[in-house]
Amino acid sequence: MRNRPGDLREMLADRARRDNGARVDTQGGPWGIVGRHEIQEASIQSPQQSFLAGTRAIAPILLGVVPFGLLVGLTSMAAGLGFVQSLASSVLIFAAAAQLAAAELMSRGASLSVVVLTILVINLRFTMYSASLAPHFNTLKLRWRFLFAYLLTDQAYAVSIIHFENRSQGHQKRWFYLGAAAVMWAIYQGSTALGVLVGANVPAAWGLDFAIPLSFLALLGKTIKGRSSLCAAAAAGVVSIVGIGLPHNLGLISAGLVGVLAGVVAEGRRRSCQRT
Amino acid sequence: MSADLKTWVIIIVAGLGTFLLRLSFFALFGNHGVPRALERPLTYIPPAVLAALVAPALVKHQGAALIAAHNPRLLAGCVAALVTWKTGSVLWTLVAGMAGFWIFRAILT
Repeated sequence: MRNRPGDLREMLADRARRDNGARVDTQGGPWGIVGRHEIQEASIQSPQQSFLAGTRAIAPILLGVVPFGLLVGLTSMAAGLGFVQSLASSVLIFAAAAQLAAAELMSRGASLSVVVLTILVINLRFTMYSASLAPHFNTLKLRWRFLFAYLLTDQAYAVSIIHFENRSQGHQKRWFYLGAAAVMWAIYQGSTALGVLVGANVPAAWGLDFAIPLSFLALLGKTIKGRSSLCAAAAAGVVSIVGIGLPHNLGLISAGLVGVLAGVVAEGRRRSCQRT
Repeated sequence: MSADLKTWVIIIVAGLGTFLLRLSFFALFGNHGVPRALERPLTYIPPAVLAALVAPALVKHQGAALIAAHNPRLLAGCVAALVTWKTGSVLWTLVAGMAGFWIFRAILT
């Protein structure tokens, strides 16, 4: 089904409106929009307001990130990395779980390829976040998407996807994401630096590492909107527990995939029940 | 290869690889948008992924999975879930969850 040239212009205009938070209902063909109808939306927020909204959204979660950053700085040094390398790994790799695993492996003298592969396998989950956020960023120029890819973390992903999917109240998505992700980046780098340069640490006995799953629990609540999403979450939760023994976040990825499958199946079942 | 050089190679290669993983669908879906067949499945990624991040952390107790009434994380998680349900606030969930964790841990150990 080919779209007329007028459709293409409308499609681009709608993408621009959508990127700015407007709701545009569409009926589409396999790859694009055939008909559209715009819904009046609240006035569009300024970049600064959107940025601040993103920062506010991620702020409570950053409390749990600081101890992790400190730990990453410390363990990198303990593994023999040195100041510059420890700081560089947080800037270039920017993934706490992977950095901690890598530090452990390096202190045990693992080979180069094992360390690199381990880091990459642990970070495979970022492809899921990338797929999930991509629809919201596909109007952006490539250089924005490069930047946003670099800044992608579990936390920035979670607060952004929730905000985008619950209708952004006119906040501009790119600024919201930047407000969340850039501040997260800064806090993480600062915490690593503190761990590296000052040897600062929070005693493990305080159990502050529990703060991160707690934050995700709060965000999980906002993503459950009905029976299908509940099925997705439940299935993923079960698989992730079963997969606890699996190394390198493989349990997490399997759980994610199973959860998506469960959600799709649950939705299909509900639809067919409604038809009969 | 000296240890120092090896470390740098690790950092740079892993950094680049991780960046490409993050970029993956931003680039792939960039110009044509998301294929319609994937639109609904993608919406299930948030609940699935967040549940997968939360569940093991609630169940872990000294290195193994413990689904029982004397796991302070599990109990604190239930309290936190209740608070999330009632308030929808990340901050209050954190406060209640951490408080619950410390209290239950003190009582149970």
